[in-house]
Amino acid sequence: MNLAAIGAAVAVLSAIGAAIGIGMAAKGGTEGIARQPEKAGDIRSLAFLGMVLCEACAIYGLLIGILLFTKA
Amino acid sequence: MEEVFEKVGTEVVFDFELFGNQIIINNTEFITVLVTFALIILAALLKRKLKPDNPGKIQVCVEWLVEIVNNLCKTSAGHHGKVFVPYIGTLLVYLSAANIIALLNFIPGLHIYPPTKDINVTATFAIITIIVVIVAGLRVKGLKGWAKTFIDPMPVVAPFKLLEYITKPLSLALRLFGNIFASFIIMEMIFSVVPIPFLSSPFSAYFDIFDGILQAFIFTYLTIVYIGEAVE
Repeated sequence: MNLAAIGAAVAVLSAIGAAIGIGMAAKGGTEGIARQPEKAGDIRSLAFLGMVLCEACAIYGLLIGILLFTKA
Repeated sequence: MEEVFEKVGTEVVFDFELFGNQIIINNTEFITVLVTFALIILAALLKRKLKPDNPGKIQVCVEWLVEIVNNLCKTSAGHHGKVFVPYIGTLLVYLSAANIIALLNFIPGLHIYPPTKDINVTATFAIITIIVVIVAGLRVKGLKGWAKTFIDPMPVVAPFKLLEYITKPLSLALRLFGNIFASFIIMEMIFSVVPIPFLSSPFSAYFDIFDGILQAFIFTYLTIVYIGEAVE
């Protein structure tokens, strides 16, 4: 049994949290634009920033997964 | 699976001896220089055809790109934004070209992979970005004003503000590297599973073109956001 492979699989579970975060950022962005269409530019860039910062967490998990898998 | 992970490391393209020193040019450096020269030649060719009146199709596209960069700098960094237009534009064009260069990977004998799948390249860009952020803050606020930003609401936050100068380039570098590296591995796995190029092309459209340009834009956008935070 290769424990490093299981560790890699567990590390990629960080994508769950990132997916929830990206969904919430997109929800907030669309609701904000629907409520105030005149502020669409500002809201879009802020929602985009939130999504990008959430995505970084998924990438960290993925990197740890790749590192574990290639070392195993 | 094994042959996919064999391609992950850098491979040596040239290997020669100069004044008694062994000089190794690996894949990353070769493609980096290739992209640079391709962009220089492209810029020189586009520059020759510019006309102030009656612009052609290509000129409209180039002006649209320049306008995007101008607006990005203006909205994030205010009236200081104009200074950063060359850097931001270079970053956007170079990273876009570097991320989608894997489309040229059909020439036999020459392995063209995106150079941004090497963490050294992305870390270099992230370090340049954080140096630009620090210098911009110093130039706009002066040494005293810049030092005051560390104790802005209260002196307790000073360690966290110092830590920010490490975590910002780290996350920038790792985000770009992770995305391009992951899409590279996924594409190589698809190529090894699907032998027919026609079937794998939709995946290439997403993982190479869309993801590459999106990540280049994200890197550029975060750079100008960090600069805007530093100069406001």
